[in-house]
Amino acid sequence: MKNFSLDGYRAIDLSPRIKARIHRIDGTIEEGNLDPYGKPWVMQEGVFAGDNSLYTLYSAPADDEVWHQERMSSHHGSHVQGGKGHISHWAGVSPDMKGLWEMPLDTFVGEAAVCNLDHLQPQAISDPSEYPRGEGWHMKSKPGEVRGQEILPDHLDNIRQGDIVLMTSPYEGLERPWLSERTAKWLVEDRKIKMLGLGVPGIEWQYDLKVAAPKNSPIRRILLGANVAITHPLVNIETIKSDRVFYFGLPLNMPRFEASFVRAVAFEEAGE
Amino acid sequence: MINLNNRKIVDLTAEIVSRVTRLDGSIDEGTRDVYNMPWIVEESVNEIDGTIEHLVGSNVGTVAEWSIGGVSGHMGTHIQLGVGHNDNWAGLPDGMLGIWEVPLSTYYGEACVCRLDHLKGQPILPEHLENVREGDIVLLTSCWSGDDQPWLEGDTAWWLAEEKKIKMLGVAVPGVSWETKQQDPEPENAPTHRAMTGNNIPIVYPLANVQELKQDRVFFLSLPLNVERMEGTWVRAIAIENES
Repeated sequence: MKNFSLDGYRAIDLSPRIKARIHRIDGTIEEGNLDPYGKPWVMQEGVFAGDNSLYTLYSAPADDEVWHQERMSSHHGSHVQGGKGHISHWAGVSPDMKGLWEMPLDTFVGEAAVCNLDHLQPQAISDPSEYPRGEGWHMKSKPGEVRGQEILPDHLDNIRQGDIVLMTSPYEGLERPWLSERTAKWLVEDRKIKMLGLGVPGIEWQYDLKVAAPKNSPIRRILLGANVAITHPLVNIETIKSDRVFYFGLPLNMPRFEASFVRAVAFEEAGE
Repeated sequence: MINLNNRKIVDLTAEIVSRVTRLDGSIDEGTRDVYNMPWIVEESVNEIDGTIEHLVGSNVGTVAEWSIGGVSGHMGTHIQLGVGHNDNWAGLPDGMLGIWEVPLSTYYGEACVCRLDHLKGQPILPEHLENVREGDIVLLTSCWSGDDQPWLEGDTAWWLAEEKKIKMLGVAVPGVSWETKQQDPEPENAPTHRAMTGNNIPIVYPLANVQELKQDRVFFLSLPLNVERMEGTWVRAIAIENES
């Protein structure tokens, strides 16, 4: 049997490039950029006395103008999250929920279905139930407003049982297609997916965040409750030509870390 | 499409159990890596959705055993290149690249496993690395620790970099002592760092479980985070080999 090889495959970087904002040891600051959710990556340079090499700490000085506190979280840039330690304090979640560190490595490595939902164009809704959010503080949208479409199993017919799923669309804001509870349950129960990777701005999946438990954040509950890891924000999914790729997006090996920075990469057969 | 059928993923990443400060103020103590580096986090509540997110590191001066506060990219298994790391040293060439500047394909591919159990407390020489092919990722390991570890001679590091033109150097620690002359004056210091980063060859370490690999050649992958200007980043290093 031949060894595993990615010869003949093209790498597509799904992790957005973040430019760190660095406080250098000479007092200068090199400006950085923000991740797709508007979060910076601030670092402070230091010198290791042991060999005069340089290092950077993932932290901001107390008076940093970009970040309001010394520490940043595990949710800056592309990251993967599991349930334990993240939502395990919520009422009504499964006691069998696992942390990232308890999931097998092939949760984060393997064949992935690519679902680019650019054909789900926004349309005027006729009933508030057709979209899970409203403008501004409004909980619901109104008839006649243009909103994203519900993503249905019919739109995801390239997903096979046990797949990793990479999903995106070109739409933004309230025009994004949205992942409904029934479709999330189908992904978990029927397709038994291992992981869901979400492109930004592409998909609406974080809604009903302030609803009283256990009805809050239904998609997060359904996925993480079934130990389906969620990776986001991802980019470049729309540049993948094939509807199937080989995916790597492994968490760090830090038990108890509720979410982990990742470098997510898809490998597409050359010539696709 | 390539797949994992009849193959297994071998985790080559050293584990650090996080030291977690819980919301209630209690502390779950963690572990440290082989260089005594911790992974420190604290629970915080995301006010938008009520989830818990870990703040990474500690505030300066608040954790007695880690008073510096932040954690660097060098905790646990990590990968490093020269820019921002040792490009302040005298005598290194122009044209050194940062982790974020080399092709992504640098970080995965065919790897040669070099088991050096027969070199207890001895220098690693080119003749001990006959299975290394040009352009390989090289994984060094042995069953030894402490002063019994074989060590990578500076000349051998240069041979790997410039003769064999290896793509990446991965080192099991404990197992192999891969740097020498760390305290020597520049530019005579740290020949392995110089040979590798001076030739834009990433170094990934400390690796674990390399001894567990069954094949002499495996697929290896350790992708750095996509953060520009980060001179070293945490990685999850894995090998994929065939099921026996």
